[in-house]
Amino acid sequence: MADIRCPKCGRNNPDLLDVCQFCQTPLKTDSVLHSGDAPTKKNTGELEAILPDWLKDVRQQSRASAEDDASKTVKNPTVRKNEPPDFLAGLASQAGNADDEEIPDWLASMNPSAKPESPAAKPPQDKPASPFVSSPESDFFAQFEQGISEPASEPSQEEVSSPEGKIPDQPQHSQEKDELSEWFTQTAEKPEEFIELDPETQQTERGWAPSFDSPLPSQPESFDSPNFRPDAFREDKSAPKEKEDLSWLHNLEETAKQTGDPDTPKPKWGAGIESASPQQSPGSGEDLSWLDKLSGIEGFTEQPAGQPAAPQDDLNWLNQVGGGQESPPLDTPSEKPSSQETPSWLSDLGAEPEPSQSSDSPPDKPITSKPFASEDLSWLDALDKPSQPSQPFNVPEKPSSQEDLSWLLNLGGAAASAQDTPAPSRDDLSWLSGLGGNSEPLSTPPFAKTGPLADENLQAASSGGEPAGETVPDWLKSATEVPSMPAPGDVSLDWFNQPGQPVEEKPVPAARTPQPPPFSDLFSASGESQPPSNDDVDSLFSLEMPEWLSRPEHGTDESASLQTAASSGKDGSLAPVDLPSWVQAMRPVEAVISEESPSVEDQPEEKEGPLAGMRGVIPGAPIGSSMRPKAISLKLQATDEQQASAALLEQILGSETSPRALVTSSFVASQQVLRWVVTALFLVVLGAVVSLRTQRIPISPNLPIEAGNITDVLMNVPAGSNVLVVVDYEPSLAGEMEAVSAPVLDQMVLLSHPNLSFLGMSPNGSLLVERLVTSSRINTPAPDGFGYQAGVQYCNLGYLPGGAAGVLGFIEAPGQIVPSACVGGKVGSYSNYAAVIVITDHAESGRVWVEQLHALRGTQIVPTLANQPLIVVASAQAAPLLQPYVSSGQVNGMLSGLSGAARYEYKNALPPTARTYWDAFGIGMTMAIALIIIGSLWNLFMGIRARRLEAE
Amino acid sequence: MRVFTAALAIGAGLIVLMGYFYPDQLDSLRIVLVDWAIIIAAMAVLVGIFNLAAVQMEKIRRRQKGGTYGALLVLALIITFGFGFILGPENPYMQMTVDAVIVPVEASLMAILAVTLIYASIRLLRRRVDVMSVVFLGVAVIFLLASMPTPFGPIPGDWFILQITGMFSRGGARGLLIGIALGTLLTGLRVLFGVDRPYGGN
Repeated sequence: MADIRCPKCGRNNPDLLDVCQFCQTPLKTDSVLHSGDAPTKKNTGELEAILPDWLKDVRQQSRASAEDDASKTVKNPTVRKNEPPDFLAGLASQAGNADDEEIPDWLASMNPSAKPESPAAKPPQDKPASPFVSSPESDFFAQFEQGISEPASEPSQEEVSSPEGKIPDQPQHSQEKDELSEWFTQTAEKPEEFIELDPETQQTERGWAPSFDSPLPSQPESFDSPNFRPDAFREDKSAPKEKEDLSWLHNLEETAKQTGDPDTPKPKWGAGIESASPQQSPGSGEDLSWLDKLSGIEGFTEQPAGQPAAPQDDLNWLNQVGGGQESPPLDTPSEKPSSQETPSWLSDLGAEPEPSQSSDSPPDKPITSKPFASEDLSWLDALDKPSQPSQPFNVPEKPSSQEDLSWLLNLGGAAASAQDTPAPSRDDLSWLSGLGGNSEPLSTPPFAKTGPLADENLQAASSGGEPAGETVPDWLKSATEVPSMPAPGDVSLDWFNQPGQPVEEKPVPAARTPQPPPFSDLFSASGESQPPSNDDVDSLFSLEMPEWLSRPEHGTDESASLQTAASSGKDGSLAPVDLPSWVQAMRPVEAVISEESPSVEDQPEEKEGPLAGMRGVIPGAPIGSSMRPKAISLKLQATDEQQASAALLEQILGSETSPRALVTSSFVASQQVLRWVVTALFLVVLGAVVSLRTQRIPISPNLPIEAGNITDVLMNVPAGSNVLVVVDYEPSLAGEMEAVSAPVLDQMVLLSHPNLSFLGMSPNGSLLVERLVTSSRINTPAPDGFGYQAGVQYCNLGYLPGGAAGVLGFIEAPGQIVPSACVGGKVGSYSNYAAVIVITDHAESGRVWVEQLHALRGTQIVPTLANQPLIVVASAQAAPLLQPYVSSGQVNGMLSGLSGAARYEYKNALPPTARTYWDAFGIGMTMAIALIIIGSLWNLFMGIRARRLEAE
Repeated sequence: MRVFTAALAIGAGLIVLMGYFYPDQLDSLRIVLVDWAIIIAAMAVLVGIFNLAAVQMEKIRRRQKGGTYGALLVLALIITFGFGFILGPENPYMQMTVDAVIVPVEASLMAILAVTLIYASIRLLRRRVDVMSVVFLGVAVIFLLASMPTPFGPIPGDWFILQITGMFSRGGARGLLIGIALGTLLTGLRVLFGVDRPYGGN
């Protein structure tokens, strides 16, 4: 492990540490952050190495999944999901006939991106107007034949929902035959094959399409397999054709054969399909009645076996659904179904009514389907023209002689229009015009027996010897009935106005009879006030907008009229129903609506956009209208007590942080004045007394006992002996201590002329020793002083550290503890000292010396300590605590304070050192006592007075 | 480390203590240990002075409040230490430093203390009026009167006063001394037993 050297202490530290373990100095200056430093930008990629393992794993997984998704995306291109589902894509022949690459026109028109693979084979046709119009040239079901003939050539994976599914071109059949039946026949002979689908495709896109897919080559993948691809449904000629599993078709056929009723009329949509595929072999004998039962509706019956054109007839319904488009009959041999030909049923859906054609069609022949051509989509144009009558369906020209698909007549047309239509016309799209027409002349309820389709059904039924009413399967009867709700897109709401009338009884409106606009009865009050801009609006939309949709909102009148109309049940369309209470509660309040909803005239007129010239289409609610939800107060519902408590708590918390204002009154000023007064008084008085050196105050001759013993001790000190003087006081009390110790030292020097060894117990001890010797005139030359010389008669031993331990050590081995250069002060042992004088201003130092000396007196270490006197010179504050030692005899004598020193000097007639300070000391003490007494009494009086005032 | 320091302290204390009871066996060792303690105490004074200077220097470096006084302190310390180390305590310049600076400064502080005490005594009854406050002031006044020199000479009965008051003071002092002795004994025993570790082990 590498070590890092500390920049401060220089010691090595492990590199794991950021701070030195010895001196706590940051080792890595880079890691030290200081406030205010600008952040350093770092590359996040460099930090990846320090990421935790779990995070690295997560990131790796995400990258792997992203890569997998990308690879899957490359392999399987995404399917276009924005395109509407192409339900007809599956119908196209997926067998992949290389020759049949032509796309029928009707399909090509639906899919603009489809590329005609065989332009030469493509018949010159205009763009079909309606995808539901079959072209005579192309047969929708021809593609099935192609699929049947060449099913293996098509790849199994083909996009089902793609509208771009190419329908392979189908050769034109010269004969009307059941293409579908032929295809089915061929597929039935083939082994079961699996049709694979791409699981990635949406379900919606697949939908029912797989069921109508042309036989596709099978692939190992199943529908739900992960390898399923929608491309299997695309025409991929390069891919090998695989086998398809058409067992389901056979099952359906068998089921249909078993339960099919040849006499049961088949819907015309089936007939349309049949008619669209005239190429189907008439002698195939294939029973396609199963197609009738594709929807599982009972009633589909098999075609009569004796009718060779039965399969074709089954498909005539498609032609009929196309709405009477001109389409060649399916049974026409000349017609060759091709991939480009639109199925008849598709053509019928969008074809213009052509009564001449439809009427000319033989009754026993299936209705031909017209290819999807431009003129076949005229029904779409009819939708744009609100005034034009329209037929609900394109009535096929030739109704099927076999099936009764009269029910289809009721799908979209009014009964009146259908009946009035002269001969079923494929162009009768009045029913479509009624979908959006405001003043549409035709607005028929859906599934109503209206229009030429209904007539055709009736005619076909009659021609077929089947009553119209009986031919309608039961399962279709419900469909033929007038639904309670309009069909999507059908804004013709006449049926809404006539709820009581059955559909059959409802007269078919004329094809060009203008039908009242939907909800006209409901808005009858305001119908007259229709703004003229509705026409313009209608022209913009392809569908005729109903009155209720185009008319702007109205206020109370409309709502009232609505309710009135609803309640009155005008025209008897709907019987007033007693709404349950919960429904009524959901209804908007009239008052609110009436009050808040502005009138049409008040609304501003739109000036641009699709609603230009209209008013009230979009209600202009003013800003801040009552429609907005009320703002909910977020305040807590608290009572007055709670609010008061909260305010109190807030006040308490605020007072904790807020600084308190100090009350500065004259009281503080008086205190400062008093201090200055006292200070000035003492300075002035005492300064004058000291400077004058007065000695007027007498000294008492009474000397304490302990002080009297000092003289005896000093008199017993041998001359020329060594005496230890311990100096242990602070410079602040140097004046008092020097004044107190001077008489003792002077007397000792005068009596014994000892060698003095001064030992300090504080760092300032050495300096204070010299000051003491000077103040006591020991080193002052004679005759003013005693003429002691440093190093000869007295020696300064310096500082003795350690406190009690130092005293103990000095006592046991003074030469070892304090090696002094003083010759005179150098002693061999502590017992060589004839006396010990301790000069201290605090009791601790004296106590230590007393205790240490007494502890060794009884021992053999220093046997002469028992006779060694100990003199203590203490200040007035330390004397009381050292008095017990004096009383116990551990201290031979003690001189305390200036008073004691003054008396000792007076008693022993010593130089007046203490006497000098006696007058100032006295006067100062007197002043202090006087101030204390007077001030205390004054404050006591003022305090009592203040309390009395407070009490009062 | 904590155990080692505790063991070392306890061992040294026991040796010194046992040295008093067994001077022949442990006296020399005791003396050695005592000498080491004296030396360490002396060095501690120097360490304290160094720490004082370091703190003041840090205050000066960070430009904290009172840094000027810290600079003055450090400067005075250096000058005084240099003079004393070079000239010696007997040098007249050193004596002049003591006489002109050290002693007057500290004496002035003591004088301020005296004035403060007098002022506090004057204000005592204004803040707190109770028996003890009055007794305290009364006794203080009596002692001052008994001990102060009066222009009229000593007051009559001052000796008696001093004897009476001395009796109470001496009794109180003894009590304090006994308490101090007992406290010292217990503190030593706690250190010997390892309960207290003033040397930083706990």
